[in-house]
Amino acid sequence: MIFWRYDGTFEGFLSLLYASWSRRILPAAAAPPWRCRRGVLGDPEDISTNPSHSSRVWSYLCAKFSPLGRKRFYRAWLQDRENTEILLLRYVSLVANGGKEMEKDLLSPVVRQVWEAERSVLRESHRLEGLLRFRKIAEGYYASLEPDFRVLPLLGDHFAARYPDMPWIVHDLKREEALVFFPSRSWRIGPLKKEDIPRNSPEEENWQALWREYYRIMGVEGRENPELMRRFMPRRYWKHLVEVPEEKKDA
Amino acid sequence: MELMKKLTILGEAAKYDVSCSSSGGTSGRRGAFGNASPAGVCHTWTSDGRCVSLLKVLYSNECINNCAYCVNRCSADVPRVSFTPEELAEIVMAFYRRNYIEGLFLSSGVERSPDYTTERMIRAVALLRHRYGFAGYIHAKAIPGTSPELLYKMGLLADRMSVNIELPSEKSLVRLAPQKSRHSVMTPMEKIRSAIQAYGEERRHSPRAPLFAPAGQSTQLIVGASPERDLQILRLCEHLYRWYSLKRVYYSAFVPVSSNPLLPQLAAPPLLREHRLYQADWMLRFYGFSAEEIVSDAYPDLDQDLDPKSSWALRHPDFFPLDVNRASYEELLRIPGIGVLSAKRIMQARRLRRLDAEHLKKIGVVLRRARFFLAFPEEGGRFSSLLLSPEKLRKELLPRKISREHPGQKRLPLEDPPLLSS
Repeated sequence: MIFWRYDGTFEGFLSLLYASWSRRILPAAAAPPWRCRRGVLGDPEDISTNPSHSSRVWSYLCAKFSPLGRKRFYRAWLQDRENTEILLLRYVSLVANGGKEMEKDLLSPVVRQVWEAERSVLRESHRLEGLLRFRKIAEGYYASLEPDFRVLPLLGDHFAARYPDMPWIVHDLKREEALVFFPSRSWRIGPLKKEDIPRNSPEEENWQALWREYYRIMGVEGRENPELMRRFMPRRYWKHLVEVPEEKKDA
Repeated sequence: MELMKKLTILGEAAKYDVSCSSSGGTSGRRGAFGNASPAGVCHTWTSDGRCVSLLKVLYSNECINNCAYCVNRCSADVPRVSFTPEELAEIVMAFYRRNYIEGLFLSSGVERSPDYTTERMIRAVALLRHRYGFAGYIHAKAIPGTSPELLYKMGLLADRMSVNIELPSEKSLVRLAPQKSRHSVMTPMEKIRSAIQAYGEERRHSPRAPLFAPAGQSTQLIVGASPERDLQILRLCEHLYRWYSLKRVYYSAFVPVSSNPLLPQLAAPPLLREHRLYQADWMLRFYGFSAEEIVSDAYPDLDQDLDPKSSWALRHPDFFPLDVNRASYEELLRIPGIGVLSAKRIMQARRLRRLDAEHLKKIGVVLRRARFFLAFPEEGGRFSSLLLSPEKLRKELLPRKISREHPGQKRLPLEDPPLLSS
C-alpha cells in the first residue's frame, strides 16, 4: 500500500500531484502531518514540496479547468478530510481527460463529492464570519477557533476589509496555525502553537459581560426553540462563544 | 454599571421588532473601518432560534403614543431611559470590533415629538459615521410623522430604513393605535421609496453620488393581534412589494405584552401562522406566485398543517404532472419540495443527459413531496399522484414529525427553516 505525506500547504499538494503523474502512481492515501496516524498503511513516504513542480501543475490546471472550476478545486482541498487528497487526484484526471464540461457533471460521484466538499467549506467559513469572537489583547485583537475545515484562507479577505485599521489574529487551535493581519499590510498565515494564547486587556471583561447580558435578554419568552437555535449554531462552536453561559458549554 | 442598565432596558424594549437582516448593503461606503457584506452575516442565535445580526436597541423608550400591543406605550409602568449619542456609539464600536454584531438597528419611542426623536437619532448615527468613520451596516427606523427633511438626512446616513405598518388594516390601527393612521405610515414610506429611486438613478450615472439607504426599506406586520385574515395580509404585502419596492416584509407573531381588553387573549404566540406567512412571502418574492394564487376569497387563510406551495399544488392538479426534462425553470419552482437550488441543479444536469428519478436523487433533489408532481420517461410519462385520491395525496404531503413536547403548540416543520434573516 502506498501512503504519502506532504507538508500540508497547497503548493505541497500540487507537488504531490506532480509526483503521482510522473511516477504513474495513484497512492492509497495522502495526508498532511496532522492527519498521519500510523496504522495498517505503515509509515508514510514523504513527498517534498518543489516550487517548480507546483507551478507546472498549477499552469496545467489553469489550462484544463475553468476559472470557477479551479476555485472549486482549491476550496474542496480546504476541506482537509480523510480522503480529500485522493478525491481531488481522481477529480483532476477526470476533468483533464473528459474536458471542462465534466466539471458540471453532478451525476458523477467524484464531481458531486467535490461540489459538496466546496459547499461545506464555504458554509463553515460563512458561518464563522459571524461566529468568530475577537477579544482585545495588548496590541490588537485575538480570536481562537476550532473549525471542522481549513477556513483561515477564506476568512482573510473578509476580516481585512472589515478591520483595516487594527492588528488582529485568528488562531486555528486544531491545526496550530494563525491568520495574522497588520494595518496596511496583507494578511498571512503562519504556524502558532495552541498553547500560545495571549492575555486579555483589562477592559475586556466589562464588554463581554455587557454582550452576555444583551444576548440573554434578546430571547423572547414564549418563543423558546432550542432545537432551532442549535441547528443554526451547533454545539461544537459554543466553546469559543462569549455569550454562551459556561455551564451550557460542558453539557 | 449605568450602561448595562440602559442597554438592558432599551434592548428589552426593542426585541419585538423582528427584522434583523444585514443583507443588501453595499461595499461602496467609504469610512475608516467596517463594511457591509452584501450577503449579510448572522452573528449569533438566541434561545428562540432567531438570529442576531445587528445591535437592536431603542434610542429612548419614552413614548407619547399609547399603542395597545406595545411594551413602551405611555400608559405602561416601565422605567424610562435614553442613550446619549456617545454612549450608543461607544457600545456599537466595542461590539463591532469584537465581531459580535454586523452593525446597528436603531429604533426609538416617540419622545416629545417625531422630529425631536429623529433629530436625536440622527445625531447618534452621524457621530458613528463621521467621527468614528464607521462604514458598517445601519438600519434606522423612520418615525411616522417626521418631517421629510429629517427623513432625507437619515436616509443619507443609513443603509436601510423602515416604517412599521404593524396592523394590516386602518380599522385595527384606529382601534389599537389611536395616534397612528394608515396615512401617517404610508407617507414616510412613499417619501423614502422615491428618494431611494432618485438617488439610485443618480448613482448609476456617477459612482460618487451620495448613497441613500442602499439596502432599501422594509416593514413589519403583527400577526394575530387583530382579526385580519391571511388574504388581507398577503394582498397588502404584494402591494407593498410591487408599489413600494420593499426589500422585506417581516411578520411578528403577537406576543401578549399587556392585558388590554381590546387585544385577543392568546395561550401562545401564533408561531405556526407566522411561519406559514413567511413561506407564502417566499412564494411571492422568489417563486413567481401572486397573492391571489396563494389565498383567495374561497380560501382566505393559509392551511396551517400544510405548506402553502403544497396546498396550491393540491388545488391545481391540472398544472401537473411536469416532465422534469422539459419543464421551464419557472414551472419547476412551482413543484412542492423543489426550491431555487434544486431547480438550478436540474436545469444544469439535464443539459448533459435525460434525467430520471435516480438521477434527481443523485444530484440532491429531495423527492419526498416532489415525486407526486413529476412524470419520468421510464414510467411512460405516468403521473404517480393520479393514482392517489386528493385526501391520500394530502396525507402524503403533511410533515412527518409533529412533536408532542409542547402540547398545544406544533413544532415548526423541519423541511423549511423560517428564514428570519438573509
